[in-house]
Amino acid sequence: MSQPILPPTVCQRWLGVQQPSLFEKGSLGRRALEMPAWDGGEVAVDLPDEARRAEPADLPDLSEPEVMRHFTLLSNLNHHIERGMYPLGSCTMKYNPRLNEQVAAMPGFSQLHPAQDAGDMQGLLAALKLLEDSLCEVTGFDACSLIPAAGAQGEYLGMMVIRALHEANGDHDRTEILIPDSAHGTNPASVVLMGMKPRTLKSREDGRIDLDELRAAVGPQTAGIMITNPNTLGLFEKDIVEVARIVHEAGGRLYMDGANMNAIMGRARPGDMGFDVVHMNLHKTFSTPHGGGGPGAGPTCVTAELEPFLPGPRIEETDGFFDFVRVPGPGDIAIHAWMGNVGVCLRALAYILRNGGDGLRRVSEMAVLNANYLLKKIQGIMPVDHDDGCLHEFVASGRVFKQQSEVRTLDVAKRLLDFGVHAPTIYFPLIVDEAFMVEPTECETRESLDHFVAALEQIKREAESRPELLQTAPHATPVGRLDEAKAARDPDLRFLGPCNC
Amino acid sequence: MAYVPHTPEDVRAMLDAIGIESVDDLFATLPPDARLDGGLDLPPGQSEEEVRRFLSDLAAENITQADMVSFLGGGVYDSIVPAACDAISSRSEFLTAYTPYQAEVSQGTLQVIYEWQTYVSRLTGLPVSNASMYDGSTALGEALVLAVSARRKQKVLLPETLNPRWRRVARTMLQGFGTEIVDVPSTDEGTMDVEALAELADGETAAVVVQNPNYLGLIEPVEAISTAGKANGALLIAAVNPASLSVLRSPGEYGADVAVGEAQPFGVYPGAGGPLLGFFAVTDKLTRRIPGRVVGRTVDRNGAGAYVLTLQTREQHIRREKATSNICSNQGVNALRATVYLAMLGRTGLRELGEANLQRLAALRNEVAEIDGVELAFAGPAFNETVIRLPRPAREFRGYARQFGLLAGIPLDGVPGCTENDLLVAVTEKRTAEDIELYAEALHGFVNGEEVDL
Repeated sequence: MSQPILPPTVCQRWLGVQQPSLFEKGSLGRRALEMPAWDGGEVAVDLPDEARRAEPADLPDLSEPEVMRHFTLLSNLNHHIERGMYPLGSCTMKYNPRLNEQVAAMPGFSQLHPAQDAGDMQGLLAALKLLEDSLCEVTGFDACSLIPAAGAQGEYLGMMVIRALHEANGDHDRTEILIPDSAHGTNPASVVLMGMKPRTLKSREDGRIDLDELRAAVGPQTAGIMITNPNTLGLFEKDIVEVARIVHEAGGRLYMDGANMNAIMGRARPGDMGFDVVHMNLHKTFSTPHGGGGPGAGPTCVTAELEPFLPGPRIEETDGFFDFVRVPGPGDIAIHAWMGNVGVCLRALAYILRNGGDGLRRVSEMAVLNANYLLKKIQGIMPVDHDDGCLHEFVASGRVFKQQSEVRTLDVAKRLLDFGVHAPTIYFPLIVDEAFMVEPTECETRESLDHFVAALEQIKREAESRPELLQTAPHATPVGRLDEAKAARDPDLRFLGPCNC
Repeated sequence: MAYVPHTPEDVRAMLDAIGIESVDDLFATLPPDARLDGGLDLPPGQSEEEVRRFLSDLAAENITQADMVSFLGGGVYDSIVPAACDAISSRSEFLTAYTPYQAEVSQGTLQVIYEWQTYVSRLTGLPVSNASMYDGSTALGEALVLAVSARRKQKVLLPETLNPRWRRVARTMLQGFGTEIVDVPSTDEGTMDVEALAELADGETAAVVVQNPNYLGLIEPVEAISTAGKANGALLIAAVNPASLSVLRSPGEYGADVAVGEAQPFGVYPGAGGPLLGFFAVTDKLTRRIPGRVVGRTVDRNGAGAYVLTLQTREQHIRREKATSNICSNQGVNALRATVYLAMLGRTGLRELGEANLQRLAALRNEVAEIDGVELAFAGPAFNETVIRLPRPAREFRGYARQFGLLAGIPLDGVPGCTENDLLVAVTEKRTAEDIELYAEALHGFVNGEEVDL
């Protein structure tokens, strides 16, 4: 198949160049934001001197045009989803519909104060209830809390409700949580923060759970198990129903990390597989923007057995009126000052309504189609060890480059940036050597997948002919590869003066 | 189909390339006992216009701070949001970018975070800030976790006048550590009882929390609290409203080791309480214990200055079960909004913001002092908020004041030192003299039992 050959330096050239810091700009007395005039006459203010700060905080004074230019010029230095492909494995970097943004910005939602009466928020509460119900249907559960502000918090809440259940049942010795070795690092971290003990479960070679290992590990100390399904290799746990049986029989509960829900919507549901709790990432599966790191949201769905342990306020409908139920559950769990990231939830609802049930199924089908298409094409370039039925993502290995010419996966990833493609997730999962984890999402066209493949093919050729080009990549980006060791060794974490480099 | 580009021809060609017959074959590895037959029981998808209409109708059912004059606070404030915050934060370059792991194509996001860290540092007087936290309550919880693990002690002291919602979150986050939480009582003036603190802050104490201004809006005797609280080696955690740092002493000035708080007043819409913007700053000594993301300045291979996520060995990706936090995000867009807000405000504007808040609150307090039958529950210096003591339950007044178009405040029943007749009233820089007169009118009417005829 003939693909256009990309010349080695083509790339998507950046509009922008590095900018001086805000703290080097401006001039004392310049104004952008002014306070509304006060027409209430002279008012004496009672603030003793000892309460006042000695000196005003040293903030630069800028004009509004300067502010707009500064941030606009900075924005030009970013890769983003409206610029190019983002095949980050496990991150589900899909298109973020503009309708979602319009909805979240509607003053009827954005101007609500959380301490207003439920009567003031009937439209909002109806929307949130609809989202809860929709997520329960997608996952096959009985109840949903929208409060977790991020995936890591959803996972933390999932563990909390399981612990609270055991406590309520007087099962104080159930403190151990089983975690397959392929799991994301937040899993063991969350367990420890909960005061429970993680126990690593050795996976089979394909990252799937080893039933014999599992049978040997469960016991009266087992509180539960954390499973990412499909797993981080993009593979479905074929024995999941049996896994659930074994864990339940031992008295434990099953938590599913729903990071990879984009693979199975409308095709399988965690609740039907035997899970007791799942968290989802609205910023992955349900198209809300990542925002350069957040805010996201990590709604958590549970079985009826675990519902009493969800944090308040819960939303309940009686005769068409939506009200808050603020009574904390038996576990007395509170994870956010208010109701969580409401604005993110509204965006996800808009997405679900646009797609409908069939549309969500179609989303997963096309995400899996794109991943399998890419896998097929990439197999000619890099090995994919676990290709037995990949779903929405797969993990290739960059070891061929290393063997060939001392080019590492990191170098390949960095070189991809020159082609207007964001690097895939690399060196994760840890169980694959030189891991190169690709998740294209359903939003990419066949043409853009082909562009990705063509770029990789060219990089493969470059690895043979000009390895130094890769080892020093990227070249077309606003800055070159960074000295990360220096950053960690001599932390420079705030502006004290212009860079003397 | 919404947002999915595949035509039937695309699908066919791609299935052929893969070498399978049908889309169903893609899911062959799903075991039959785990498959969903019959699809999801959700309504069919709708056009953009239909969804917009449906959701804007729901939005229109709400009555918001845009429809009423708001005196609500309690951690979220009706503050000015400059248009520039909306314009910059809706740029897809910021909005749709991933976490800046690939620094070479993320310098925009990284430099904004570095500038945010600088602003937080300059406001709090502490040198090291992170990239932000979910909200003020979880920032406080993380600060307590930091203190417990840094000090290897299992007692923390929380003031009675701490925001009760933050207290519940902090308590939840400490559950896994077996930490003992002890309340420090307040004096009749509504601020921390420093003598009681001096007794409680013993050698077993990991941390002392001070909220300034406290939940009742009152300014705490921070110097005395710092001296008493730290006498036996506890860390001092200051929970502060960052807008107050325009005029109030900074945590760094009074010896706080950690400063946390809620930066929603800096250009973030109240949004029914989320997403918000927690901030987190520490002393140099605690740099390597700070939770969440941190950006540092370094050089690229050509020697040019550039920014990168740093100190990642603290994070759970590497430390896994040894990590002391599972935070792996920040409130990027809201930190951007706050950075734009602070750039718009500047040194001069910040000062004016503080004075405007002091002035408007003082104007309301003066009005209250002149009305028979209501009084200020606590008369000491305050910022942004005050407690009005009514002759009847505050809930009644909250309902009554709606007839004047007022969202009157947050009832304080159940808060230590307060009664069901106490109302927490916030007065931000947005309130006009007319708003405050209207409030006084409502108080008059309520006290005198007047029927409202508007």
